[in-house]
Amino acid sequence: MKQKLYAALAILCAGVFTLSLQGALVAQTPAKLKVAYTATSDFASGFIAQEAGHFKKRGLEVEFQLIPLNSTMPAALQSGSIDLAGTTLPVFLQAVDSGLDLVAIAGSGTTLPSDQNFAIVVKPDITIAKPEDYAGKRIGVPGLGAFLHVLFQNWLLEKGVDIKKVTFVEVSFPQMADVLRAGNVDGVITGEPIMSRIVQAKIGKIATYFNEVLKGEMPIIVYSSTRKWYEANKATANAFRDAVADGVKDVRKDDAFLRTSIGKYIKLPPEVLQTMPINGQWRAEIPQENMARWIQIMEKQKMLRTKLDLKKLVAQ
Amino acid sequence: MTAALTKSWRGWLLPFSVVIGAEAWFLFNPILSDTLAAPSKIIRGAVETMMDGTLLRTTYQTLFGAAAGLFIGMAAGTACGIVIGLFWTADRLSSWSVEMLRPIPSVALIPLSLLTFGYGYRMEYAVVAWATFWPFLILTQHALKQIDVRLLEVSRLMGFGIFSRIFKIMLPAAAPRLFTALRLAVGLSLVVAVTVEIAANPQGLGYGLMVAQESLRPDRMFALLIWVGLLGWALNYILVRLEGRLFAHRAPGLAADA
Repeated sequence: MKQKLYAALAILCAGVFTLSLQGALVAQTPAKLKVAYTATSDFASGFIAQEAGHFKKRGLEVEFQLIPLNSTMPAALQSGSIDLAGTTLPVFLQAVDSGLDLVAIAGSGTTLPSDQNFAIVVKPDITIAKPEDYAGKRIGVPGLGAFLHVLFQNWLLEKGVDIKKVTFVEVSFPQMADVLRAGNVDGVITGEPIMSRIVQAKIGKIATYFNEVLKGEMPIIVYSSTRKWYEANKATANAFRDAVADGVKDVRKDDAFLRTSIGKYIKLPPEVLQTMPINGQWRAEIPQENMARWIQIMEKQKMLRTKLDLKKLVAQ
Repeated sequence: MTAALTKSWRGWLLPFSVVIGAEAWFLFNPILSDTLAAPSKIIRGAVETMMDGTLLRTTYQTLFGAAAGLFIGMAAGTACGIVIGLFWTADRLSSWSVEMLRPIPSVALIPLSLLTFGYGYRMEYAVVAWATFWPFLILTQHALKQIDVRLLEVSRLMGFGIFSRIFKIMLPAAAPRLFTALRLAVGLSLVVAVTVEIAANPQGLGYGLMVAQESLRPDRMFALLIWVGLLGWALNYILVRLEGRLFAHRAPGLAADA
């Protein structure tokens, strides 16, 4: 009888031990996340979070995947080949407007009315004295409907200029200096580090900082997922946002670490990486009013067909 | 190969002059450019891509994506071509659909393919398979129709079944044309694979080109671009030689041409 009792106890103990070991293993298995990003320092908070171990600390194993065109990301999200997509706001909002059920999980780079990280750079022989002077000009933008294009059109509209009087053509960032020098465009809408390189080489001069008409802070990039993924992985999504928030806190602590971290994800030539101005700001949270400013701007430019529900756009 | 190069040494004059001219131009006009690079820098970029493993990894990804897509397109295209070539009913039923679907550019399917398969090989297989399906279908169909009627009559008299007729008579007779389809499709598959990678798929040589451009490294970009050209040329060269060897007895001019 006693032997049977001991045997039963031994089996019970072994069972409990096995179960707890399994539980511990499950708890230790990091949640794997595939995150798509583009080659811009607006993702610096995420890079820092990765390099400083903030994701790992929260049990996340994040794999960053560089995607040249952020407009392809919503489709990749829908197919499930990535978990999170770091897209600009126009891409995110237009994807939702087209019927994709996406939700913004965390923010990254933001822009302020006082920002001088983006500008329109014109050929040295062109004089822009007033907003109307842009009428009839041919302007290169990194993408039609890209966030810089939308913000410049917003500036034109605020200044009472008909945007149809300006011709916009697509010119990728690396081509801007050459295209401007060749005279194929009168100006380009650009950002750092391209902007400084063009100005320093005297290929163009800064004509307008078009952020001045913004009504407040606006996100440039948000990490988004499908709602289905978010509903099934709320804890992981929150841990991701918290880790990015830690990255935001660390981003300005050590300039050398910041540049090394950016260099790991964007393979810029060392001389560009060391000298490029990094004047941006980052924020992991996405206040609804900041998202609302984008919706207002895009509605004014007739870029949205439906009425977007602000409460559903950002993960609560 | 050496004889061919020696014979056409004059053909090297133009590219060689362009390289020398470009190097001289960059030497005397040191300008800031994120899209152009001096030939000497391109050579340095090429060495760099070889040493850090980029060239090998991206070449493997592109060739694998192109080859697997080509295989799917070849298998499906040849099978459909046989059915359409053999049966008049299938020919009549499919003619409208083939003429409607064939002109759809494979690159137009990239968004749909991305939505269905996401980033990775499967998207590339799908688009490459679509592009290569048509040459196989059309050439197989035509090849079967041009088989000597007497051959088919003999096979019928000998009591061959449909599969024996296909594998013993039709496919061997159509082999030279099928090989021509393969040669065309290999070049096409490489072009389409690189295009898919440039447009959407984050892997392979096309992606490498985009990343080099975005990273302000035109030297690496041109190095990869030249490599893509060399790869296409080498594949075509191998296939032309192979075609000459395999089918020289059927078309006497082929071996000499190769």
